[in-house]
Amino acid sequence: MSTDAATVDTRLFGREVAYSFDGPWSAYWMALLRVIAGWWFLNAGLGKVYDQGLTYDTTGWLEFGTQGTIVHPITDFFAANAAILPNLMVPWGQIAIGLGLIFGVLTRLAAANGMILASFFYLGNAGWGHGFVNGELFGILVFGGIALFGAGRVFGLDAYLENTALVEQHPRLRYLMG
Amino acid sequence: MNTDSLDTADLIGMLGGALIAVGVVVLGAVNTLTDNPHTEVTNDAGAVTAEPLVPADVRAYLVAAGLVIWGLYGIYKLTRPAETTEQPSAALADD
Repeated sequence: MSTDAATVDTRLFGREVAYSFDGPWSAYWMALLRVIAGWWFLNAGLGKVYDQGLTYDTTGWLEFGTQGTIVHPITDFFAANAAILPNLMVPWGQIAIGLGLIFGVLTRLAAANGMILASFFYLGNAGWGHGFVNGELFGILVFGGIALFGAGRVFGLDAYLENTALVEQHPRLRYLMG
Repeated sequence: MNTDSLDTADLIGMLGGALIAVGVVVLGAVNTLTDNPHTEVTNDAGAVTAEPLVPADVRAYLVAAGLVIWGLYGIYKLTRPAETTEQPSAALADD
């Protein structure tokens, strides 16, 4: 099995840590994590588009769903002044993040945006009905893990995109990829 | 990315995770071990009958601060010049 994967050689808490993602179990787990997290968002985004068309009315959640939470001043501002942004970005952002993760394209960009969206879902969780450790928090951590470990290089298209002339001329683009 | 050593920015970035752990785990344990609820408890009339020792908003602000630090760290890394060691080591699984 050839995966053209990254090797992590780091220092954590004063100890040298070295391991590679070219081992079959690491590759298997990273790819599975990426695809499952990708489907979570792709499915959520597609459901919204099938339900309401190109834009999704988020104002109810922004105004009332987050009432009493620490993000309400932000969400309420968007609901009152720029609802078009979240109405477009929630469904299509979820679809783009989902596709990016499933196919491993611009994986870190997708995962970082997933963290931003999931952060709003987590912190806008009025009443903490499912506790402080809930699906959204795990989503943030899974997206963070995908970005941290560059999971797009494992069975993802980023492994090929990183070797293109464009990326070699602009190496900073690698920060957005797997 | 070369991760053999951590600079000040990396350590500040890691502080984000510490704040999240304090908000979720440590203060959650404080509420649990002092036999307090994690959120306000109300009766059918809407009156508050029990409050957490550490309010949920305080914990949420700590988690939010940690997430913001992670976000700022990511933006900071994006704005830094690309490192020459950025190229991932390509190794074949069956090497």
